[in-house]
Amino acid sequence: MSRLRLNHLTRRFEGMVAVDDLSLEVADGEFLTLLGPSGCGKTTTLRMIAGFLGPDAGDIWFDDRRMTDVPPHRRNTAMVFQSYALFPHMSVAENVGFGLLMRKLPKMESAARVAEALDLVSLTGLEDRRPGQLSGGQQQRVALARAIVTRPDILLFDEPLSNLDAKLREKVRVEIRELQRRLRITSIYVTHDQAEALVVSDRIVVMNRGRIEQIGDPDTIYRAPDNAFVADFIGLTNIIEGMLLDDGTVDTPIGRLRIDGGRPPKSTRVKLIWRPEDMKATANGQANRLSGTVRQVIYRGNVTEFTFDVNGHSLRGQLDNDLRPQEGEAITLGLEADRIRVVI
Amino acid sequence: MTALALPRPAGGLPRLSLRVFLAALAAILLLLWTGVPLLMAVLWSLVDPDKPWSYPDFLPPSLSLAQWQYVFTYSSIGRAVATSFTIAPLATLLAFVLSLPTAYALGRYRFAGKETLKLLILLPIVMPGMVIALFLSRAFDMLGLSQSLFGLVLGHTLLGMPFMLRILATAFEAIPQDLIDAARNLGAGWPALVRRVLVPMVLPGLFAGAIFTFIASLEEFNLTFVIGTPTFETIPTVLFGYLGYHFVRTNAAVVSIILMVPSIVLLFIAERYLKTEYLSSAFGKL
Amino acid sequence: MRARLAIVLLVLPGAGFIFLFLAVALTITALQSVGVLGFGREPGFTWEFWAALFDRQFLDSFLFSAKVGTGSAFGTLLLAYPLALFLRRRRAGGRFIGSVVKIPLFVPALVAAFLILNAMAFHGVINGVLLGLGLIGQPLLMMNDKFGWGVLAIQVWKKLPFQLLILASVLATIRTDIEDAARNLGAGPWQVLRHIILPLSMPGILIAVVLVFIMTFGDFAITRIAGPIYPTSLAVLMHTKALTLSEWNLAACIGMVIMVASLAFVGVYARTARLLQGTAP
Repeated sequence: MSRLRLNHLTRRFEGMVAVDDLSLEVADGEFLTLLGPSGCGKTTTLRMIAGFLGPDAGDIWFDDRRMTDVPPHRRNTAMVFQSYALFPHMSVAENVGFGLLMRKLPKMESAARVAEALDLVSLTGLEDRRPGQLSGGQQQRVALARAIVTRPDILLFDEPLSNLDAKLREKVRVEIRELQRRLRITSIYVTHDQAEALVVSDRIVVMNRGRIEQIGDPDTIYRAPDNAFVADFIGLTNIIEGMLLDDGTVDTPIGRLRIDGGRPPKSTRVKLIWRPEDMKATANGQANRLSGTVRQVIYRGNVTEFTFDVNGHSLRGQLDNDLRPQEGEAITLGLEADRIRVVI
Repeated sequence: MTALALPRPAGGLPRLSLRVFLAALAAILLLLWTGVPLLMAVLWSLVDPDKPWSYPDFLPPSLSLAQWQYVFTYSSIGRAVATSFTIAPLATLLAFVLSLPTAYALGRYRFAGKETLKLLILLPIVMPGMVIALFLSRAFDMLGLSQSLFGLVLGHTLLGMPFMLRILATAFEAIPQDLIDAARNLGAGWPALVRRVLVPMVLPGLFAGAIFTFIASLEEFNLTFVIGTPTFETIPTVLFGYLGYHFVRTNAAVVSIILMVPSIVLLFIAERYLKTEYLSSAFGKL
Repeated sequence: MRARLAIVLLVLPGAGFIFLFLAVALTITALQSVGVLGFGREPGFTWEFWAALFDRQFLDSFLFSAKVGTGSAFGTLLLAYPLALFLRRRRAGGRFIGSVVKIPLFVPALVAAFLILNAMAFHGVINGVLLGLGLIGQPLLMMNDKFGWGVLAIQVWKKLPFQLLILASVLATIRTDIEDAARNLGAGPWQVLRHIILPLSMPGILIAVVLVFIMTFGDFAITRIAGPIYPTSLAVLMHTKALTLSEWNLAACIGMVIMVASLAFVGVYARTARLLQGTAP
């Protein structure tokens, strides 16, 4: 269990900058997710924390220990790989016990800890199986057990759920979260799946092109994105550009919209962001009314998403199924002023 | 603790210099290991017979082509070269003709016993050459094929076929089935299919297979030694003569180079202009 | 059924040719070893040749061949495996080293014999350098020596790139993320080698060793050139018995021994190769 500090980390590959002057502090026992599109630098950062890559500039600290030049096998981190990376020639028990073998733990204690770890991931009874004989989900658990059994300072996850099917993914991500809460190991989790990030994290770091776009807890990231990139990356969004007028309203292609206070200084050119579910079917009493024609209707099981055209601009809406609109129908939705976020 | 960001050489870990040193050391040792024997052979072939080269001279005192002249004038190397370069193309051709249908089957069909067959094909080069040569020669004696060019061609074909088969099979395997289906779909019957689709697509493989078979024939020794000599000499048998109980260093050097050069040239062509998968299928991934 | 017939017909020319010649050679050897075929004597089944086989000379040759076979196989491995490990991760100079190392592949066996014979001869360059550096007082006898160092040197020189190619291809199948996982869990470089890479490359090592053994165990030419007069390799003994002493039946027995030993190891190779295919990703 350690505090993690990344200090002005930079890493280049063949001329282009993968991680750009990144600084970050992670509290002891925190679950932090690095979230972003491919190529944003999240995996590179993770691998630098693990020690597989050395930064071109900057430092990595675990508590008060400077780890930047320490080779990976001496860092006391543990990684859960995307491909699980289980040793094919070893049994489940040998896989899980490998880290303990490297730390020269006596056999009895090692066996006990392995049993304990397997129990935590509900794999008791499979000790003698080979990885090739396990399902994807089971392999993933072995990878998890292998990581936690060593009681690492920092637990690292490299998109561990990408190879699982959707249902399993949802189940396992919650289990990982529960497990981490119990064990209180500082964890860094890399994913490109924003829904996953919202479920598991204490805080989310949204990354883009090697830089941090925003850090915050899931609710803040979702409700109060700092910029258009974050807003667009997390969940579905409507983004409209407009001119901030002196009277406090914003002139946009879809009409004059009322917004709440908290407008950005100086700039009169702004972007307005709001979520589809923020537009309500009842337009009465709402600060803004948006009228248009429904185009695409997408049934999602619990809600219906749809797009509708307002003055030639396509907006995304979401309503409960009993209120769902028809294609081609004229529709008016209401949008409260405090639901609109204003960014530059 | 606000540490300043210090710039660091790319790569991070400081053990880089040890790796570079080891790499350089390995490179030098390998160069010596491989190059010195070759260099010695070349030098020895150029030694002036009037100024013998021995310790403590580091290099031969003078170079001349006298040895080369001697070998070509007084030994049977001329005929041997002719024989070698007659047998090789014939054996290659025969190997190609025999291998073509088999390679096609191996490359494009699935059938029981395929893996065992692939193993069987390797046997001529894996099995002890002198055993096969010696007892095959008994059969050849009985059939009157000993001391005959035809017998030698047959023998060389046997030893070249593993290469030809494996390389051709790989080439056939690589033809996407879609191409054949498309050609069929557009109306191509078997002859047209072979001429316009199959042969052009396996041409590189064919070329590679031919090169390896040719070289295998040029270098073949055991069978030729038993059933060919003394009527027929090839470059390897001549070389063996100079290496055996009558070790004549300078002559051996000359003949070595004569044997090596075509092989190296051909293999260089093969490696340069063809895909390296052929090289590894011939030598490596047995 | 038609498809089956078609395949048989296609396979016949190539495989049939090989099978025919090998079968003939094997049959003649077998028959001669039990006297069914013979020259200058009455043909008839007998074990007398096999009984007479195991004399001092044969046993010495057998041991010599076995020694040279295993020595070559493992000697080459000792050099090839570290090289393969080194070339595994792309390093500076890797390509150059890779190319240089492959050269002996292109050198015909007889020429290789000459090259090394020349270098290691009594008046060769190696002795010259060692004498010159003052490391030895007298030239070393490294060729045609009783132990077989000459033969070993030539075989190792020639077979090194061959083993290297096999080992390199096997090592390439070991995924790097497995190595990373081991390092992450606390394994230093030696431990990664010992616990991960060695076990996973065992089938490949076995194949490389077995193949070189088979090729050197039954060798004739190189032993004749660079080996001692006595003991000599089984193949040379066989050749002498047949063509010099006209003892064809005894020669056939020796031939059978070489053949059976080689086939046994080919079996090991086949079993291991299939295992390798099973674990390939």
